[in-house]
Amino acid sequence: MPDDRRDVPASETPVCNMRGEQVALGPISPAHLPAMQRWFNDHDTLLTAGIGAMPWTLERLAAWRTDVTGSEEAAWFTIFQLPEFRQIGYAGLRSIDFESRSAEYAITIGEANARGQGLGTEVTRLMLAYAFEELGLESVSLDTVEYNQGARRAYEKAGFREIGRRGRAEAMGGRLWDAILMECVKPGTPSPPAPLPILGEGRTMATRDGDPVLFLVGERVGLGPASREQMPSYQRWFNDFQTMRT
Amino acid sequence: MTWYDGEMSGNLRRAWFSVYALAKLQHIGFVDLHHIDHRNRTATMSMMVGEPSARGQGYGSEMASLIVQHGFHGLGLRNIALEVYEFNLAGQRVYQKAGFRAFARRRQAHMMGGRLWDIVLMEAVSGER
Repeated sequence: MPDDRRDVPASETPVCNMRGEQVALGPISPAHLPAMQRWFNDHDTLLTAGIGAMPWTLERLAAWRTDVTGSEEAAWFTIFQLPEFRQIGYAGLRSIDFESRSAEYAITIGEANARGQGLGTEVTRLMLAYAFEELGLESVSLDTVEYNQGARRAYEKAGFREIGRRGRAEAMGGRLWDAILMECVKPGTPSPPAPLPILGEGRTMATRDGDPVLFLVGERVGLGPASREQMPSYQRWFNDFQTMRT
Repeated sequence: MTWYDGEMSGNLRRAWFSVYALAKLQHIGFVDLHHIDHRNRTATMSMMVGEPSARGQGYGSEMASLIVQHGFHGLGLRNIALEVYEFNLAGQRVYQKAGFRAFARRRQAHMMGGRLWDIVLMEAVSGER
Protein backbone atom coordinates (compact mmCIF):
# COMPACT_ATOMS: atom_id res chain seq x y z
CA MET A 1 0.00 0.00 0.00
CA PRO A 2 1.21 3.51 -0.74
CA ASP A 3 2.23 5.44 2.32
CA ASP A 4 -0.32 8.19 2.88
CA ARG A 5 1.75 10.01 5.44
CA ARG A 6 4.76 11.14 3.41
CA ASP A 7 5.27 14.88 2.90
CA VAL A 8 1.79 15.77 4.06
CA PRO A 9 1.40 18.60 6.54
CA ALA A 10 -1.49 16.95 8.34
CA SER A 11 -3.32 20.13 9.29
CA GLU A 12 -3.66 21.41 5.71
CA THR A 13 -5.01 18.35 3.95
CA PRO A 14 -8.24 16.41 4.20
CA VAL A 15 -8.19 13.12 6.06
CA CYS A 16 -6.88 10.45 3.71
CA ASN A 17 -6.65 6.70 3.98
CA MET A 18 -4.74 6.03 0.77
CA ARG A 19 -2.51 8.05 -1.47
CA GLY A 20 -1.27 7.36 -4.99
CA GLU A 21 0.66 9.51 -7.47
CA GLN A 22 -2.23 11.57 -8.77
CA VAL A 23 -5.07 10.79 -6.39
CA ALA A 24 -5.81 10.27 -2.72
CA LEU A 25 -8.80 8.60 -1.07
CA GLY A 26 -10.40 9.60 2.22
CA PRO A 27 -13.68 9.24 4.10
CA ILE A 28 -16.76 10.96 2.68
CA SER A 29 -17.49 13.80 5.08
CA PRO A 30 -20.70 15.85 5.21
CA ALA A 31 -18.73 18.72 3.63
CA HIS A 32 -18.37 16.60 0.48
CA LEU A 33 -22.10 16.22 -0.04
CA PRO A 34 -22.86 19.46 -1.97
CA ALA A 35 -20.41 18.57 -4.76
CA MET A 36 -21.76 15.03 -4.83
CA GLN A 37 -25.28 16.38 -5.12
CA ARG A 38 -24.18 18.39 -8.13
CA TRP A 39 -22.80 15.24 -9.76
CA PHE A 40 -25.81 13.13 -8.87
CA ASN A 41 -28.04 15.64 -10.63
CA ASP A 42 -25.72 16.05 -13.62
CA HIS A 43 -26.84 14.29 -16.77
CA ASP A 44 -23.27 13.61 -17.90
CA THR A 45 -22.62 11.80 -14.64
CA LEU A 46 -25.88 9.90 -14.92
CA LEU A 47 -24.67 8.59 -18.26
CA THR A 48 -21.84 6.73 -16.60
CA ALA A 49 -22.82 6.18 -12.99
CA GLY A 50 -25.58 3.79 -12.13
CA ILE A 51 -27.39 6.21 -9.89
CA GLY A 52 -30.73 6.44 -11.67
CA ALA A 53 -32.43 9.26 -13.50
CA MET A 54 -34.16 10.67 -10.46
CA PRO A 55 -33.59 13.98 -8.69
CA TRP A 56 -31.35 13.70 -5.66
CA THR A 57 -32.08 16.02 -2.74
CA LEU A 58 -29.32 16.83 -0.32
CA GLU A 59 -31.28 15.01 2.38
CA ARG A 60 -31.50 11.83 0.34
CA LEU A 61 -27.77 11.99 -0.30
CA ALA A 62 -27.05 12.63 3.38
CA ALA A 63 -29.23 9.65 4.27
CA TRP A 64 -27.23 7.50 1.84
CA ARG A 65 -23.99 8.65 3.47
CA THR A 66 -25.26 7.92 6.96
CA ASP A 67 -26.41 4.54 5.79
CA VAL A 68 -23.12 3.47 4.20
CA THR A 69 -20.83 4.92 6.85
CA GLY A 70 -22.66 2.84 9.45
CA SER A 71 -22.45 -0.33 7.40
CA GLU A 72 -19.72 -2.94 7.49
CA GLU A 73 -20.81 -4.09 4.06
CA ALA A 74 -19.72 -0.87 2.39
CA ALA A 75 -16.59 1.27 2.20
CA TRP A 76 -16.98 4.50 0.24
CA PHE A 77 -14.26 7.11 -0.26
CA THR A 78 -14.01 10.62 -1.60
CA ILE A 79 -11.48 10.90 -4.43
CA PHE A 80 -9.09 13.85 -4.24
CA GLN A 81 -6.88 14.94 -7.11
CA LEU A 82 -3.31 15.66 -6.03
CA PRO A 83 -1.43 17.78 -5.29
CA GLU A 84 -4.15 20.27 -4.37
CA PHE A 85 -6.60 17.73 -2.89
CA ARG A 86 -9.43 18.77 -5.16
CA GLN A 87 -12.58 16.70 -4.60
CA ILE A 88 -13.31 15.09 -7.98
CA GLY A 89 -15.38 11.99 -7.31
CA TYR A 90 -16.08 9.00 -5.13
CA ALA A 91 -15.38 5.30 -5.21
CA GLY A 92 -16.43 2.42 -3.04
CA LEU A 93 -16.91 -1.21 -2.30
CA ARG A 94 -20.38 -2.46 -1.51
CA SER A 95 -21.91 -5.85 -0.74
CA ILE A 96 -18.70 -6.59 1.14
CA ASP A 97 -18.99 -10.22 2.21
CA PHE A 98 -16.15 -11.16 4.52
CA GLU A 99 -17.31 -14.74 4.79
CA SER A 100 -17.09 -15.24 1.01
CA ARG A 101 -14.33 -12.61 0.72
CA SER A 102 -15.95 -10.74 -2.14
CA ALA A 103 -17.34 -7.28 -2.86
CA GLU A 104 -18.61 -5.07 -5.66
CA TYR A 105 -16.75 -2.00 -6.84
CA ALA A 106 -18.07 1.31 -8.14
CA ILE A 107 -16.45 4.64 -9.04
CA THR A 108 -17.59 7.99 -10.34
CA ILE A 109 -15.34 10.81 -11.48
CA GLY A 110 -17.88 13.56 -10.99
CA GLU A 111 -15.86 16.57 -12.14
CA ALA A 112 -15.96 16.53 -15.93
CA ASN A 113 -12.56 18.13 -16.35
CA ALA A 114 -10.94 15.39 -14.28
CA ARG A 115 -12.03 12.67 -16.70
CA GLY A 116 -9.84 11.11 -19.37
CA GLN A 117 -6.57 11.49 -17.47
CA GLY A 118 -6.17 8.04 -16.01
CA LEU A 119 -7.25 9.14 -12.56
CA GLY A 120 -9.98 6.52 -12.42
CA THR A 121 -7.48 3.80 -13.27
CA GLU A 122 -5.25 4.81 -10.41
CA VAL A 123 -8.19 5.00 -8.01
CA THR A 124 -9.25 1.53 -9.10
CA ARG A 125 -5.76 0.14 -8.49
CA LEU A 126 -5.75 1.71 -5.01
CA MET A 127 -9.20 0.32 -4.28
CA LEU A 128 -8.21 -3.17 -5.42
CA ALA A 129 -5.12 -3.05 -3.21
CA TYR A 130 -7.38 -1.92 -0.36
CA ALA A 131 -9.82 -4.76 -1.01
CA PHE A 132 -7.16 -7.44 -1.23
CA GLU A 133 -4.54 -6.28 1.27
CA GLU A 134 -6.56 -4.44 3.90
CA LEU A 135 -9.92 -6.18 3.83
CA GLY A 136 -8.55 -9.60 2.89
CA LEU A 137 -11.01 -10.07 0.03
CA GLU A 138 -10.30 -12.50 -2.81
CA SER A 139 -12.65 -11.34 -5.56
CA VAL A 140 -14.03 -7.95 -6.58
CA SER A 141 -16.70 -7.58 -9.25
CA LEU A 142 -18.41 -4.66 -10.93
CA ASP A 143 -20.90 -3.92 -13.62
CA THR A 144 -20.71 -1.23 -16.24
CA VAL A 145 -22.70 -0.38 -19.32
CA GLU A 146 -21.72 -1.22 -22.89
CA TYR A 147 -21.64 2.40 -24.05
CA ASN A 148 -19.19 3.40 -21.32
CA GLN A 149 -16.00 2.46 -23.20
CA GLY A 150 -13.76 4.70 -21.15
CA ALA A 151 -14.71 3.03 -17.90
CA ARG A 152 -14.21 -0.39 -19.38
CA ARG A 153 -10.69 0.41 -20.56
CA ALA A 154 -9.83 1.85 -17.16
CA TYR A 155 -11.14 -1.24 -15.38
CA GLU A 156 -9.16 -3.52 -17.69
CA LYS A 157 -5.98 -1.53 -17.14
CA ALA A 158 -6.47 -1.82 -13.39
CA GLY A 159 -6.88 -5.60 -13.57
CA PHE A 160 -10.56 -6.37 -14.21
CA ARG A 161 -11.69 -8.67 -17.01
CA GLU A 162 -15.09 -9.15 -18.58
CA ILE A 163 -16.90 -12.23 -17.32
CA GLY A 164 -20.27 -11.82 -18.98
CA ARG A 165 -23.07 -9.61 -20.14
CA ARG A 166 -26.67 -9.13 -19.16
CA GLY A 167 -28.63 -8.32 -22.28
CA ARG A 168 -30.64 -5.11 -22.37
CA ALA A 169 -30.34 -4.60 -18.61
CA GLU A 170 -29.66 -0.84 -18.40
CA ALA A 171 -31.95 1.96 -19.56
CA MET A 172 -30.37 5.17 -20.83
CA GLY A 173 -31.27 7.71 -23.49
CA GLY A 174 -34.50 6.05 -24.50
CA ARG A 175 -33.08 2.59 -25.14
CA LEU A 176 -31.75 -0.44 -23.34
CA TRP A 177 -28.09 -1.43 -23.22
CA ASP A 178 -26.18 -4.50 -22.18
CA ALA A 179 -24.66 -4.52 -18.72
CA ILE A 180 -21.08 -5.76 -18.74
CA LEU A 181 -19.97 -7.75 -15.70
CA MET A 182 -16.30 -7.70 -14.78
CA GLU A 183 -14.21 -9.21 -12.02
CA CYS A 184 -10.74 -9.06 -10.56
CA VAL A 185 -9.56 -12.06 -8.58
CA LYS A 186 -6.76 -11.46 -6.11
CA PRO A 187 -3.49 -12.14 -7.91
CA GLY A 188 -1.07 -14.71 -6.57
CA THR A 189 -1.60 -17.89 -4.67
CA PRO A 190 -5.05 -18.80 -3.43
CA SER A 191 -5.65 -19.01 0.31
CA PRO A 192 -4.68 -22.40 1.76
CA PRO A 193 -7.40 -25.01 1.50
CA ALA A 194 -9.15 -25.95 4.69
CA PRO A 195 -8.35 -29.41 5.97
CA LEU A 196 -10.87 -32.08 5.15
CA PRO A 197 -13.82 -32.39 7.50
CA ILE A 198 -13.37 -35.03 10.15
CA LEU A 199 -16.62 -35.38 12.01
CA GLY A 200 -20.28 -35.21 11.30
CA GLU A 201 -19.94 -33.96 7.73
CA GLY A 202 -23.03 -34.94 5.82
CA ARG A 203 -24.34 -37.09 8.66
CA THR A 204 -28.02 -36.90 9.27
CA MET A 205 -30.40 -38.59 11.59
CA ALA A 206 -34.00 -39.47 10.94
CA THR A 207 -36.22 -37.35 13.14
CA ARG A 208 -39.94 -37.13 13.57
CA ASP A 209 -42.26 -34.16 13.80
CA GLY A 210 -41.75 -32.49 17.14
CA ASP A 211 -38.13 -33.62 17.44
CA PRO A 212 -35.56 -30.85 17.69
CA VAL A 213 -34.03 -29.66 14.42
CA LEU A 214 -30.44 -30.91 14.10
CA PHE A 215 -27.80 -28.95 12.23
CA LEU A 216 -24.73 -31.10 12.86
CA VAL A 217 -24.88 -34.74 13.83
CA GLY A 218 -21.94 -36.49 15.52
CA GLU A 219 -21.66 -39.97 16.98
CA ARG A 220 -23.43 -39.36 20.26
CA VAL A 221 -24.45 -35.70 20.21
CA GLY A 222 -26.19 -33.43 17.74
CA LEU A 223 -26.19 -29.64 17.50
CA GLY A 224 -29.20 -27.61 16.50
CA PRO A 225 -30.65 -24.12 16.79
CA ALA A 226 -31.89 -23.07 20.20
CA SER A 227 -35.58 -22.48 20.75
CA ARG A 228 -37.49 -20.25 23.11
CA GLU A 229 -38.99 -23.31 24.79
CA GLN A 230 -35.52 -24.28 26.04
CA MET A 231 -35.07 -21.15 28.12
CA PRO A 232 -36.19 -22.89 31.35
CA SER A 233 -33.36 -25.43 30.93
CA TYR A 234 -30.86 -22.67 30.29
CA GLN A 235 -32.14 -20.76 33.28
CA ARG A 236 -31.77 -23.84 35.48
CA TRP A 237 -28.19 -24.45 34.30
CA PHE A 238 -27.11 -20.83 34.57
CA ASN A 239 -28.37 -20.62 38.14
CA ASP A 240 -26.62 -23.80 39.27
CA PHE A 241 -23.54 -22.98 41.32
CA GLN A 242 -22.07 -26.38 40.52
CA THR A 243 -22.31 -25.47 36.83
CA MET A 244 -20.88 -22.02 37.31
CA ARG A 245 -17.73 -23.54 38.82
CA THR A 246 -16.72 -24.46 35.30
CA MET B 1 -35.00 -7.42 23.91
CA THR B 2 -34.42 -10.74 25.60
CA TRP B 3 -31.12 -12.59 25.60
CA TYR B 4 -32.75 -15.25 23.45
CA ASP B 5 -33.99 -12.81 20.80
CA GLY B 6 -30.91 -10.63 20.79
CA GLU B 7 -28.15 -13.21 21.09
CA MET B 8 -29.17 -16.82 20.69
CA SER B 9 -31.52 -16.12 17.80
CA GLY B 10 -30.77 -12.71 16.34
CA ASN B 11 -26.99 -12.17 16.44
CA LEU B 12 -25.29 -12.98 13.14
CA ARG B 13 -21.90 -12.91 14.83
CA ARG B 14 -22.97 -15.69 17.12
CA ALA B 15 -23.70 -19.32 16.30
CA TRP B 16 -25.46 -20.73 19.35
CA PHE B 17 -26.31 -24.41 19.23
CA SER B 18 -28.37 -26.36 21.67
CA VAL B 19 -26.79 -29.79 22.15
CA TYR B 20 -28.76 -33.01 22.26
CA ALA B 21 -27.70 -36.48 23.32
CA LEU B 22 -28.73 -38.42 20.25
CA ALA B 23 -29.90 -41.54 22.07
CA LYS B 24 -33.00 -39.82 23.45
CA LEU B 25 -32.65 -36.41 21.77
CA GLN B 26 -32.34 -34.98 25.25
CA HIS B 27 -31.25 -31.34 25.50
CA ILE B 28 -28.06 -31.53 27.58
CA GLY B 29 -26.17 -28.28 26.95
CA PHE B 30 -24.95 -25.81 24.41
CA VAL B 31 -21.97 -24.83 22.29
CA ASP B 32 -21.56 -21.25 21.20
CA LEU B 33 -19.27 -19.57 18.69
CA HIS B 34 -19.37 -15.86 19.39
CA HIS B 35 -17.53 -12.75 18.23
CA ILE B 36 -17.41 -14.34 14.80
CA ASP B 37 -15.17 -12.04 12.76
CA HIS B 38 -15.10 -13.07 9.13
CA ARG B 39 -12.60 -10.42 8.11
CA ASN B 40 -10.00 -11.77 10.53
CA ARG B 41 -11.41 -15.30 10.44
CA THR B 42 -11.61 -15.58 14.21
CA ALA B 43 -14.22 -16.46 16.81
CA THR B 44 -14.47 -17.38 20.47
CA MET B 45 -16.01 -20.62 21.71
CA SER B 46 -18.00 -21.37 24.84
CA MET B 47 -19.79 -24.54 25.80
CA MET B 48 -21.50 -26.27 28.69
CA VAL B 49 -22.90 -29.66 29.49
CA GLY B 50 -25.68 -28.29 31.65
CA GLU B 51 -27.62 -31.41 32.58
CA PRO B 52 -25.91 -32.93 35.63
CA SER B 53 -26.84 -36.44 34.51
CA ALA B 54 -25.02 -35.91 31.19
CA ARG B 55 -21.67 -34.91 32.68
CA GLY B 56 -18.60 -37.10 32.67
CA GLN B 57 -19.71 -39.17 29.70
CA GLY B 58 -17.50 -37.73 26.99
CA TYR B 59 -20.18 -35.60 25.38
CA GLY B 60 -18.07 -32.48 25.83
CA SER B 61 -15.23 -33.72 23.65
CA GLU B 62 -17.54 -34.46 20.80
CA MET B 63 -19.35 -31.12 21.18
CA ALA B 64 -16.04 -29.27 21.07
CA SER B 65 -14.87 -31.22 18.03
CA LEU B 66 -18.13 -30.61 16.19
CA ILE B 67 -18.15 -26.87 16.82
CA VAL B 68 -14.48 -26.50 15.87
CA GLN B 69 -15.13 -28.41 12.69
CA HIS B 70 -18.11 -26.21 11.92
CA GLY B 71 -16.07 -23.07 12.61
CA PHE B 72 -13.27 -24.15 10.29
CA HIS B 73 -15.21 -25.83 7.50
CA GLY B 74 -18.64 -24.27 7.65
CA LEU B 75 -17.69 -20.71 8.54
CA GLY B 76 -14.16 -20.65 7.07
CA LEU B 77 -12.54 -19.49 10.31
CA ARG B 78 -8.81 -19.80 10.91
CA ASN B 79 -8.44 -19.27 14.66
CA ILE B 80 -10.91 -20.13 17.43
CA ALA B 81 -10.08 -19.10 20.99
CA LEU B 82 -11.60 -19.88 24.36
CA GLU B 83 -11.13 -19.21 28.06
CA VAL B 84 -11.12 -21.88 30.72
CA TYR B 85 -10.50 -21.52 34.45
CA GLU B 86 -7.34 -23.11 35.81
CA PHE B 87 -9.26 -25.33 38.22
CA ASN B 88 -11.34 -26.79 35.38
CA LEU B 89 -8.91 -29.54 34.45
CA ALA B 90 -11.58 -31.69 32.83
CA GLY B 91 -12.46 -28.79 30.55
CA GLN B 92 -8.84 -28.25 29.61
CA ARG B 93 -8.48 -31.94 28.68
CA VAL B 94 -11.64 -31.80 26.59
CA TYR B 95 -10.43 -28.74 24.71
CA GLN B 96 -7.00 -30.24 24.19
CA LYS B 97 -8.56 -33.33 22.67
CA ALA B 98 -10.55 -31.11 20.32
CA GLY B 99 -7.37 -29.43 19.07
CA PHE B 100 -6.95 -26.46 21.40
CA ARG B 101 -3.67 -25.57 23.05
CA ALA B 102 -3.01 -23.09 25.85
CA PHE B 103 -1.22 -19.99 24.64
CA ALA B 104 -1.53 -17.64 27.61
CA ARG B 105 -2.76 -17.24 31.16
CA ARG B 106 -4.53 -14.27 32.62
CA ARG B 107 -3.43 -14.52 36.21
CA GLN B 108 -5.65 -14.10 39.27
CA ALA B 109 -8.60 -12.99 37.22
CA HIS B 110 -11.50 -15.19 38.33
CA MET B 111 -13.10 -15.39 41.78
CA MET B 112 -14.38 -18.78 42.85
CA GLY B 113 -14.66 -20.39 46.27
CA GLY B 114 -13.19 -17.46 48.13
CA ARG B 115 -10.00 -17.06 46.09
CA LEU B 116 -8.74 -15.84 42.74
CA TRP B 117 -7.74 -18.23 39.97
CA ASP B 118 -5.99 -17.89 36.64
CA ILE B 119 -7.87 -17.91 33.34
CA VAL B 120 -6.20 -20.13 30.74
CA LEU B 121 -6.49 -18.88 27.15
CA MET B 122 -6.55 -21.58 24.51
CA GLU B 123 -6.68 -21.49 20.73
CA ALA B 124 -7.19 -23.86 17.82
CA VAL B 125 -5.86 -22.98 14.37
CA SER B 126 -7.32 -24.62 11.29
CA GLY B 127 -4.94 -26.95 9.49
CA GLU B 128 -2.63 -27.39 12.45
CA ARG B 129 -3.87 -30.62 13.95
